[in-house]
Amino acid sequence: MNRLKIACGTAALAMLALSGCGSSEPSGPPAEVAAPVKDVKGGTLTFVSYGGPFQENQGKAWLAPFTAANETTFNNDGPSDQAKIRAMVEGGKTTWDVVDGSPFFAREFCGKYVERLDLKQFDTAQFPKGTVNDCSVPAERYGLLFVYNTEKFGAKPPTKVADYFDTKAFPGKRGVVSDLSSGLLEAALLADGVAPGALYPLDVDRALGKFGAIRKDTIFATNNGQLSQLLTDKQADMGLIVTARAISTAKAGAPIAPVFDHTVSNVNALFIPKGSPNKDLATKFLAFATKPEQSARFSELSGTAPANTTAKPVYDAVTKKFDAFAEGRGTITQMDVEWWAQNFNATQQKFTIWLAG
Amino acid sequence: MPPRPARRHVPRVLLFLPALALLAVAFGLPLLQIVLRSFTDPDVGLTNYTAMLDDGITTTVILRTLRVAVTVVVLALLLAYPYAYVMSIASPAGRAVLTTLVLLPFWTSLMARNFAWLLLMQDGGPIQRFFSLFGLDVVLLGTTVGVTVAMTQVLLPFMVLPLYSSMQQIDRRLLQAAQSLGAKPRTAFRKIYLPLSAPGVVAGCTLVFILSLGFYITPALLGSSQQSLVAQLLAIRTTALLDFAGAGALGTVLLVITGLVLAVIGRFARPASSLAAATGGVK
Repeated sequence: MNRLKIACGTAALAMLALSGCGSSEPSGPPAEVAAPVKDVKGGTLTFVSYGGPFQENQGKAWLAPFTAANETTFNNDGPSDQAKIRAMVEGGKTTWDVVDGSPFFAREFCGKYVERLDLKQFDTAQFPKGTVNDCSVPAERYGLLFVYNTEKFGAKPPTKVADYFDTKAFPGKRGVVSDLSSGLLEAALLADGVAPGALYPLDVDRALGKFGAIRKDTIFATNNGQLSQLLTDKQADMGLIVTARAISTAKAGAPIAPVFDHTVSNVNALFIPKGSPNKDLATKFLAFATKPEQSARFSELSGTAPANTTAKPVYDAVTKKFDAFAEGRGTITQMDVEWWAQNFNATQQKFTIWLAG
Repeated sequence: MPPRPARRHVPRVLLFLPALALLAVAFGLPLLQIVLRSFTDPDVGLTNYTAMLDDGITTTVILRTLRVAVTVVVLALLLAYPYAYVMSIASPAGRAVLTTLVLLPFWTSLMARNFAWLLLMQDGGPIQRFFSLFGLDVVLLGTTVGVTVAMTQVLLPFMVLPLYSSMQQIDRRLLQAAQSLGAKPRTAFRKIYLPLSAPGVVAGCTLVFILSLGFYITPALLGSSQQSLVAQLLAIRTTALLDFAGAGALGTVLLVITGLVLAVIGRFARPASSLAAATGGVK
């Protein structure tokens, strides 16, 4: 009997926790709103992103002002999961309307699992080159930053991305997230002397060879949160980590500083899963969220760079320090969405086998 | 408890029906779908299986997973057997304390327990500092050994509880009888107690083994990509590669292996449990 009570209690707690995650209602001051793109109002949209402060900030920067202007209510769901989208579409029951996710996925499965967009509703000239396609627009931009522990390397800090791979001159543990869409293979090739303009088609074997040479000094973290933890706990003396996580790690007190040399950048994409019953409203929201004001607001809150190049975010000191997109901070190379959309699976397969081998 | 003949008119099979129906719809059907898909997507045949066994890594990972599962079972059994024994002979108050200690982990979130291990095992953490006192450099985080240790702790209750429930039913007078007939305590334990507790051993080992095979959080958090277990490969296949059919094939292989192991355990354990059943009737 007692055990039954415990089981019931645990189940109830789990459900509470689940519903708690799902219903983080956005709140915050409504920002200035541009004229509606298409005449749909009201309704309900299910917005899916990566949860945590990231999604809460999107609620403040994008969802709340959209609600204020259009009386649309939002359901928040997550985490963004492409396997779930595939299952939903195949099952014929799409419940997600707007997803913040991988541009490679949106491009590869454009028309199959992802709705085509009416690009006339967007000012595509305002997006960075190569970040928009028939099925997705950029949501935010980030760089894969090379950061190092200032206590360990303070006397003679690394200055170029090649130093990450130089364990002789800079001995110590390295951390990197084993997620191809963060751009670690590109970073390896840039460090190996490939010119930023000549990265694609990607020489995957050469990139893996570069990591292979420092393999015993490298921790391959499962996600950015884990890498952030490794840097904070000084389990890793250097890291290749995405912008927003570098900032939150530094703000949490970890003594890290960035190296600006050749930086790889990528975008998260906003797209509409195939079969969403609210496609028009969702498209209107996409157009709204990628406008300069909303883009800037989210960048200020999250530390990612705006996907809209005309946005003018005002950063705090720490964010400024880690902003790879600012003037005079080396080269920025946007990952090639087309190449990745075609080669993601083969590359991931190769990478998985290399990692586990 | 005395039998209640009045209730006899309800066929007992009917009582299983709701559970059976739920299992069929919520488990049987999806499982069938997964297995079918692994043989039909993209083409009918064994492509998913041959591709998997040829990729040079899946076989290694499956063997590694089996090795870890067996190690966890052995370690958990060695730790749990004496513990369950003490539980079965302790005073009611002592037993309550021991039971609470076993159940305590169930009340703590699995994540919390795994993160606790993470802190204990990390570079410069308490475990490493302790061993460095003896001049030993012990690296647990990111290794199979670390994963095995943590999994043993996390899965220990699943070994202790079945063992305890079977030991509790053992009539201890049988041991006295054996000793009064001249058996040394050790012989009495080996010939009477051990076989009688066998059903608990089998149940505990089976549970822990099956749970170990599919364990995800602990290896994902404390292990490393270089030391992946099957569940990590499954996660990559589904979430990163969107290869549902391939993941289904891997899952099916895991299921078949589990089935085979269970069949072997069942065969191996039958003499012991039939002995227990026979002597259980003596009471």
